[in-house]
Amino acid sequence: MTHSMAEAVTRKILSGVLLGTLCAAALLSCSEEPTPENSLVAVGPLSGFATRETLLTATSTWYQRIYSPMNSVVNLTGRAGSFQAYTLLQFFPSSFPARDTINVQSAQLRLRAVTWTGSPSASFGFTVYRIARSWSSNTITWDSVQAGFYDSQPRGAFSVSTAPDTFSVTIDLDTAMVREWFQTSTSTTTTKYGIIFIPDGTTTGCARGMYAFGTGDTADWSPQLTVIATNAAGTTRDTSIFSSGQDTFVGTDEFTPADPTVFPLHGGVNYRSGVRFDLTGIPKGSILNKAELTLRQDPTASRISPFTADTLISPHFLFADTSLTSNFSSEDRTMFGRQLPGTPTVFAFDVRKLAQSWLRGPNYGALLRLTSDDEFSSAELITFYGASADSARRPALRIIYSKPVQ
Amino acid sequence: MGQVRIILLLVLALTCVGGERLLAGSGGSIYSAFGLGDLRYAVGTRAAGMGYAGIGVPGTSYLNALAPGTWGTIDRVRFEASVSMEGFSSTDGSRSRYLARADFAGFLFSLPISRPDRIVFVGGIIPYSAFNYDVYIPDNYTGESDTLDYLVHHVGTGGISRALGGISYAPIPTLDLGFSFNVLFGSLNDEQSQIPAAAGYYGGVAYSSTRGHGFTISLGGLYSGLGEITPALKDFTVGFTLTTRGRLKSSLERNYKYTLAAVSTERDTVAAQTSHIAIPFSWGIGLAYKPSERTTLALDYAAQPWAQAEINGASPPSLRNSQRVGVGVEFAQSKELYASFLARLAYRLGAYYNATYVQTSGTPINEYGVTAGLSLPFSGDSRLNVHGEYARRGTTDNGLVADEIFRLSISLNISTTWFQTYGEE
Repeated sequence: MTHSMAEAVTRKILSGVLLGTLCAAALLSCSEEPTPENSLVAVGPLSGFATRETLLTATSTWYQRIYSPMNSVVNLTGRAGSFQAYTLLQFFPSSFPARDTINVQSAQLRLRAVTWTGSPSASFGFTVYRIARSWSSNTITWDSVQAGFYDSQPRGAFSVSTAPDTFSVTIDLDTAMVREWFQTSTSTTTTKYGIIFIPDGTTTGCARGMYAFGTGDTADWSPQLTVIATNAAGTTRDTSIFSSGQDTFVGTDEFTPADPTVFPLHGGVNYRSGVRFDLTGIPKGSILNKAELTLRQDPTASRISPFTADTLISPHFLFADTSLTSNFSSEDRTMFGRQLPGTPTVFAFDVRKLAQSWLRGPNYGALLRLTSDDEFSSAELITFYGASADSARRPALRIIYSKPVQ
Repeated sequence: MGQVRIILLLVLALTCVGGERLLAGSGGSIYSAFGLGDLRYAVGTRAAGMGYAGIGVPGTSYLNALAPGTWGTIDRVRFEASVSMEGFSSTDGSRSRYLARADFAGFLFSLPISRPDRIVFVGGIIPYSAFNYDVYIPDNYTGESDTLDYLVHHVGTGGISRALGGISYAPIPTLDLGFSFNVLFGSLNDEQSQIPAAAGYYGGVAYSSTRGHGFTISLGGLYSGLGEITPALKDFTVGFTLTTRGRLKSSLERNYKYTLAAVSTERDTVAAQTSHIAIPFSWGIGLAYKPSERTTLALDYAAQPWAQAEINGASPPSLRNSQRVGVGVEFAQSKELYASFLARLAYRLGAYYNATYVQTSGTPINEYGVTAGLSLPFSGDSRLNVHGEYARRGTTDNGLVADEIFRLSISLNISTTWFQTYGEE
């Protein structure tokens, strides 16, 4: 093939391709996007959805006490009804300089009380003891605080007959104990494990919450230890302030409601509950368009904190049937239950995600608990009527579901 | 040869893609939701330009996958790859829209094995049907204590492809017979989304996919000896094609997504149900008349009793027996390789009527259209074929939809002289 012939052939090919491309481009470029607005009437075999509605009541409810590590923003101390709480506090030993011969003149601990449970007019007081064992705020719970956990010798005390919602707490600590925190080495008698606040005998109607390390609106509201000390010769006098450490509280409560049909959600201990519904009446594969769980509160047994602007309940998907301690989904704010406007004793939850999983199976039900903001920093107690209550009060699940028509 | 290799590579790449879409442009006609979708009448770009008439037209330079009897006159190794573009301007009487898309339309090759016996092998892959719709249907639920308004969004994708391999043979000089073994495979997918209108309600998606595979056998013949009966018929050829009933093993899979989010772990799958798809036998006859070397007239009739079809073991109520008739003409001034470019152009015109296999709301859905084609020669006997078409389908009566259809297909037909031997002079 000569060069001119090749050129001619190429031109012909390109002409053909160009023609085809132009036609194709014209055909395709005018295409619209399919939208609901330009969609035509539907004909033919395309099926839709059959939508139904059902109201289920709980087949079972149950609850469990769980000693959880708190380690939150507020530490509780005191007693309110059957609830009691101890605060544990340790200034980091590494923050104290090694001064084996130091002479501690005074050691003053300042705290900021910011919440209360029970009655604010009830007397409130606690005694400070030295902790005798190593502990961690991430793991310690009520059942860890056994005999021998702290010394029996008081190392300070605080009491007030009545107090406002917030106030500062100042405690003079035992200087001998604080001196130990400056020692180079420790022994069975020289420890640096910190202190525990045990409510005194007059404290029966109030538990107070005090800011933890690193919390509060200002740094001054964090636990603060002011130590005035001299050297052995008494020629040098220093004032040191310490404000970093670990802290938590441990709590317990014996929940014995007058009405046995109720179940509790309790912070500061904790009590968590489970609720289960039977969804076998809903066809498998259905899309749940809405699933609203409603719980009816028993106000007589509840103890809602006035410091919680919006009382929220967190539902969780249970992965197993065994306990309410673990094996549940993480907290999902979109599912939080809250009081219905105008009907404060009714809590409503959007549990579509949970119910959809129950429908698919397995269905171990939902775990209900206070949100993490409340469960680990308050002694809030909310009780709801359970599956054995009369039918109008039982937990209810209203579901709208759609099943593809086949 | 280098050019052929490049095109082969391109075609192979396209073949690997199979029936997947080359270009987006979601949605076509709602009528593709019926049965196995929009059926492709795979007679090739040449016959498409002639009103889809080609069963009785000898192949020579063209590959007609539907009619094995036409293969005997193919005298060269040929490769043909096609793309098609389809635009649907649809209306239901009050609203209208235009949707278009492009598809890979197949690849075929031929391999002459014996010129004297006209033994030719033909193989390739072509689309058999296409699911292609995108519609929104408003619906609502009114309960005792709540109401739910929502849209149902249906999207159909997929289709059936046909891989074929066959041979033609001429037992006598005036008769070509051929057959092809056809493997049918593919999936028909429907995505059905429920989209609530109000916040606070959740939607979801139900997917169903019918996968199928099976085979059919096509037989064909072309008889050019009508002149022996009477000289007046010497310029006529007659052809036929017959495809056996196909029984495809099918599995229907359903799965669900319980949110409308693009990515979600909230899913469920229902165990696949195995069944079958029964595709009825089909047959067609064609007549060609060649009054001169330049002109070819063709007439085809084809039918298929789709009322006997079964999909997933059930007989779809909206399918009926289909039939079509097509007529066309081709004018090619010269087939000489050394004639001028203009002289070697081939022009085609045609028209067809297709009583489709769809009947809904008691209304049969028919299609009729006019076609035109052009064949551009380049480099020896190779050709670029273009086919354009305007058709109408359906009606707005009885709450149905009428389509205006614009089709354009382009095929590249490459020929080469591989394996050919020439006797010593």
